[in-house]
Amino acid sequence: MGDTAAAKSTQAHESELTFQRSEFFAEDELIEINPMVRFGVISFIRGNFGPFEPSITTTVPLWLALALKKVHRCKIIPPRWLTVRSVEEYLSEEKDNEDELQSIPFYFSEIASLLFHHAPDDLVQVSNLRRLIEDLTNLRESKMRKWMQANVRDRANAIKVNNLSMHEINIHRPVLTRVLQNMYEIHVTTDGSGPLSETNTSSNPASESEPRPLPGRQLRRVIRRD
Amino acid sequence: MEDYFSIDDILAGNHCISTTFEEQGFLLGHLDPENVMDWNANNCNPDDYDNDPDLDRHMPKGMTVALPYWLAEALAARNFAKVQLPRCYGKSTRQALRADARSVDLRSKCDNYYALGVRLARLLVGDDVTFPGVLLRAFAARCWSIADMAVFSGDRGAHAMKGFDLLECDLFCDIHGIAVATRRWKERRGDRISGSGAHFRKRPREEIGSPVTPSTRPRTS
Repeated sequence: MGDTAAAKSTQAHESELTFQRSEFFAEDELIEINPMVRFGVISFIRGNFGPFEPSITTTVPLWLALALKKVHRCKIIPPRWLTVRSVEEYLSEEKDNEDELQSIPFYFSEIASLLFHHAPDDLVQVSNLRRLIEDLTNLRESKMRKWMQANVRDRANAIKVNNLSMHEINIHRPVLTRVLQNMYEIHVTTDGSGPLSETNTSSNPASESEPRPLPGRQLRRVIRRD
Repeated sequence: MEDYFSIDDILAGNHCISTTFEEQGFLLGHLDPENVMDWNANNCNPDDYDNDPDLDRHMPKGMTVALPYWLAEALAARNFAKVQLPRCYGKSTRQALRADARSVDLRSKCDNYYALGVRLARLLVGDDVTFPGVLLRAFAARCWSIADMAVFSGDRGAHAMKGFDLLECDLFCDIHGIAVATRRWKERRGDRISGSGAHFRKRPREEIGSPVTPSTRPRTS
């Protein structure tokens, strides 16, 4: 409630970049490729990768794989969880446990989106896969939304959700933080003893017959006479 | 909780509350001069004027004036005056909120319904035990429909914000911004360089970015 105008405007701009930012982090994950060139060992800050020999499977960071793919110097081998069978398994697990989100790779959406965009020819059954992934994301999102509506009621001080992927954290972050913060402010500042009472049961102090001055402040009562 | 420099907090504290003076307000008659004169004409005899020739310049004890919240709070905290809850927090609104919180038009009642309500609840601690719960339950009931509307409303966002007070408008804008950003990211619009909307077109363009930014949010004066 007490945000300054500057904080609000940066929030509007920041939301545009959150997804690109988490995609950048996702590109650090390791993935297997089939290089089509011969090259020695390359050293990065993160470690050494290579040597690269044609048709010998090597593990590299995703950004390097995509860069090589763009100049047609490698063939990307999709990760084990990005197959029709595996995504169908995720989907059936989600449908079986209606109350909880199931565990999926942290950068699921980002890596899937990058591979669909840059390397669709390396994936098997692309259209099927796309459809299944979309089903999965929609199912998880509606589960999360239903869970929030049911559990974030009046006096929630903190909540804990398991198995959110990075993309889902980005989507639900503004909702949860804002709603929880507003509820906290309304709840805490209207309780009689202020921030000290954060229990779930509201126990208002015994009502007195006259309004009390605000606790904790030494107030002046000045009656001036000339 | 209140930020001294926040314009929103300043505006929230500016709404008028009717306050009843419990002591004589020395030289405070300028707050409402005509009503002070009427009151004195009805309630004082001429002898009082002999004792205190400045009687019209004081705020008489027992009179009710509409003061901005920040002034009313200062007086009430020192037990000079008693504050009454404005009608927008009264019985009929509470019943409407209990019946169906989502359809109540909070902006027509008060621009800063929650902010002002929270401040009044702090002031009236002990007087009205149920009031804070009313605010909290109203917000809890409304916030999820606001979140759903924000995610699914697309371009027509500004229209959906009718009836929200300022707190809820901010919530809506945040969520809407993220929803638009999600769609853009999915379609990879961010990577494309597109023309600005500054040149004229016969047909209205499809959404360029979030049309609902805090500056385009409709505000009633």
